[in-house]
Amino acid sequence: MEKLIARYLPKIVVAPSFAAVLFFVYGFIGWTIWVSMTKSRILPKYDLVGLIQYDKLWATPRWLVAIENLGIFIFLFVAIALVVGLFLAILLDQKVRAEGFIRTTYLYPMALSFIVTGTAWKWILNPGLGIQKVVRDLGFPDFEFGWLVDPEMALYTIVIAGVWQSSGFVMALFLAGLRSVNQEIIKAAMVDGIGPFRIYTGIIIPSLRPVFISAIIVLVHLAIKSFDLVIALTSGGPGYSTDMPATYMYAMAFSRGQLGQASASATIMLMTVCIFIIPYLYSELRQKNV
Amino acid sequence: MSDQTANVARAGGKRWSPILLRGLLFLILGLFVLYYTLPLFVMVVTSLKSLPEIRQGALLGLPKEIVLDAWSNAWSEACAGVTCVGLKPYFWNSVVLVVPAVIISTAIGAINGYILSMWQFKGSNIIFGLMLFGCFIPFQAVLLPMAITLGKIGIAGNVAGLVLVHVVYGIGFTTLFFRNYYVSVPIELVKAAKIDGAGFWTIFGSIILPMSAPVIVVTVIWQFTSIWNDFLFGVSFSQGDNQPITVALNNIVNSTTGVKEYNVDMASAMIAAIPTLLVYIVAGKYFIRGLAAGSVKG
Amino acid sequence: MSVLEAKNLYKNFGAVEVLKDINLSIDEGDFLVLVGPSGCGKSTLLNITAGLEDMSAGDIMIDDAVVNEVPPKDRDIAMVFQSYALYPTMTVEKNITFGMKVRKVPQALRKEALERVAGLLHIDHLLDRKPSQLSGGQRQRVAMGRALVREPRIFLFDEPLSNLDAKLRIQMRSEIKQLHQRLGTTIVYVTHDQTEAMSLATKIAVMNGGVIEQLGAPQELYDTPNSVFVADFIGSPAMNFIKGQVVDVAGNASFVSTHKGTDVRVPVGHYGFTEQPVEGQEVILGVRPEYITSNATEHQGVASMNFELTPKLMETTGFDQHVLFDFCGGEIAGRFSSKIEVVINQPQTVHIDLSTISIFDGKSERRI
Repeated sequence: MEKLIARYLPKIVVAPSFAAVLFFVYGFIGWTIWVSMTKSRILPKYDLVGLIQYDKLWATPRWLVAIENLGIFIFLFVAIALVVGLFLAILLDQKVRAEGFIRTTYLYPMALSFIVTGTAWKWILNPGLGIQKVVRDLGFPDFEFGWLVDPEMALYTIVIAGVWQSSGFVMALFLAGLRSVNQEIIKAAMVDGIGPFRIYTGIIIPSLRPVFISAIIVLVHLAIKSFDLVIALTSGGPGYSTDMPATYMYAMAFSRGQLGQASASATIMLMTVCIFIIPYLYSELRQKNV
Repeated sequence: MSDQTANVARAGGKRWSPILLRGLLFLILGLFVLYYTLPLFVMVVTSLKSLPEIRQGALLGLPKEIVLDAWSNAWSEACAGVTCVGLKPYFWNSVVLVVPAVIISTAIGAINGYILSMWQFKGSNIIFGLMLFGCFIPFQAVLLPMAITLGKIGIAGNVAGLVLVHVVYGIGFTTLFFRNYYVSVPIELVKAAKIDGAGFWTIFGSIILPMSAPVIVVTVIWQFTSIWNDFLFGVSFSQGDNQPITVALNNIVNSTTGVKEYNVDMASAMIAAIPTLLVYIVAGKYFIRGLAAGSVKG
Repeated sequence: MSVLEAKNLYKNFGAVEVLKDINLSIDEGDFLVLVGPSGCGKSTLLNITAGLEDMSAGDIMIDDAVVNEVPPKDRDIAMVFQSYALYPTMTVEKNITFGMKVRKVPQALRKEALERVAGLLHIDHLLDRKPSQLSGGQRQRVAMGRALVREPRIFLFDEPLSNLDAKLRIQMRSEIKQLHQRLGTTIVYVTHDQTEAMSLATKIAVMNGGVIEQLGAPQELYDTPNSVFVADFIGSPAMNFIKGQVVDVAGNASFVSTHKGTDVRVPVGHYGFTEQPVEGQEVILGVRPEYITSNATEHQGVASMNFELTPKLMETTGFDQHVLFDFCGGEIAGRFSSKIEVVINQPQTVHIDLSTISIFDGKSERRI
């Protein structure tokens, strides 16, 4: 009898969490996907009508802008953060004395809320009193930096703020990766007479592939979810020029009373994330079982 | 282990003078230190200036005269929409939210991690995988049904609802942290304890928990930071007086009524930022460990 | 009445058969060593004995009672692990007394048991330390102390010395043997090291691929191994094997090498065949290096032969030399006194004592 309880106790204890996850994650995802195929507006309806919400979605200019913004944002955000992070990591790995302090400084932005970051950068990029004025006061009276209120350029302000917040984290990842590079391979290469640039580009950076993948996964994930930062910095404006799928979804769900559209946009966001995450999780978990 | 890259750089030092290279290195590193600290500096400095001084420009200049009014204003008088009570009540809302949410999600994560690493059974890895996946989903996909569910249970719009939300969606991460930590504990420890006669809970309480200090710290810091800094759940599932500080901050900064008080905005942002910044400064290296554990999954 | 008995034990992990039809029994005071290469199933057998794993079929009996369903804590066993598995946040004292506390043994008895065991293992001065403050040998003693304090029916050891360096290993081995002699405890001990097995055991079970190849006293396994596997596994340096045939079975039974170009013929009429060999049967002849010496030895056994062989390689151990010779298309090793001068590539008289040979069937590799 005792053995029976012992056998089942772990399963019993983990069951509530598992049930919660099943309900609140997978159940809810199912609900959202379901509703995305209904005619729901202010209130959810549950009769399936096919993919008309998706048709409508892809015909909505505001959504298309949001998707385009997301694409541009992901690309720039990930690329710049990777480059900056890797560059700083390599620099910081050169036996610098103040490394601890410098590392702490590069990383602290991650401890801030995106709202705080957005607020700060909104002020810095303020057309009248921010950077524009600073540079003008330095003697360049015609310097223009009104990106924040320029529909064409506002998106890039979000890139700037986002990179500022996240590149330190990428640096930390790469630094940890650099420190675990196999020393003996480097020594062998040096004995072979290979110069430092080739050692970096030919040996060290390729061996950081897992770190690249982790960093990209995290960054893409952050980018797709970027809601807080956009709201704080531009509120999706001017107009809709910095709208993202996340802000679009929120607007449809809570201000416009378009639950069907909201669910459809949320589902698209989910699919995008899945494309990246599922293969990664699968390979990670399989490795762990070996 | 920074030796080898330093050696690499030295190996190529023949063309460039090593002192020049070193100087360049420090210059670049220094520039980036400026880059990262500038916004914080600007926030603090602006929050200590008077409005007239701000309007004169000089974003980067130190305040001619330190004025603390913006801070007291931000704390007790600032207007978020119609109500003008400052950040104080919302600060405490966040505290009341964060403390139970962190404690509960950490405790659950510890027990789950313990089970999934030391009491594995058929399908336990699938359960882990499913829980793990839950960490990665964009929360937009669950926002609507959660709003409806909270309404049905009757805790929509108040702290209890937010605590539930943060606990449920935090379990994935906390379980991950603890499981990864416990997986490196030799299983023979559990075998020895079983032979000694200890059961499931005794092993957890007497043996595993006492050796969990590092992972508990990392998890608590991670959870505290992400729940305090959260905005999406806050803005979706709370109303009016119950909102957490991030929502109130956004309301203050983006409110369109009246004159734009930049110094109050900055002071408000600082007030919202100080708790997590303090935690970071005091326990930063654990925070970094938590970040690495959460994403690199080593 | 046997203390421990395994009857028709099987263990499968999915489709993989890890243990096949294991049968053994040991008596009070026996020191049984399970030895074999990695993956042979010895640790699994130990875990099943402890109750940490379930068998797929068969029975484990302790004191003639079937204990298949009994949890580890109720089987009256204690176990020492390769990695010691000491509770890292507890002092040595708490480590040793933890089990007693769980079983609600009164404080006074706990103290008494602790003192007794600490004295026995010379760890009394370490009681307040934590495991991280101990050396490898000290940790091993604490792990043994934790086991001893239970005064169990059977002690189980799972490769306890594998993590120690060579010198410490030999020292601990001797301590374990002394403890066994003093306390008369019944022990089941797992190792992959045959020297450890030979020196500690009263009974050895050589395992291979989930099966017990042979169960017997150390000397038995050394002198009359059941199979090529056991013969090769036990004894260092390993036994020499020469392929050939048995001929003239009716008259002067002899072994002839089947290697082309050699005409080595060795009399085996004195050998105790367990089954009558067939004329021309393919066999493997086994001779231990200990019985291949220089001609200068006095000993002339029941049967012996001399050969002129050419040494290829020589390793000295200080006391003797292991010399490698070409023979019958292969190599054999002999042990020469270090006083003999051996010159590489210079032919040397080699004396083979045939009184303790082993003959195995060529196909089944079992002793005939």
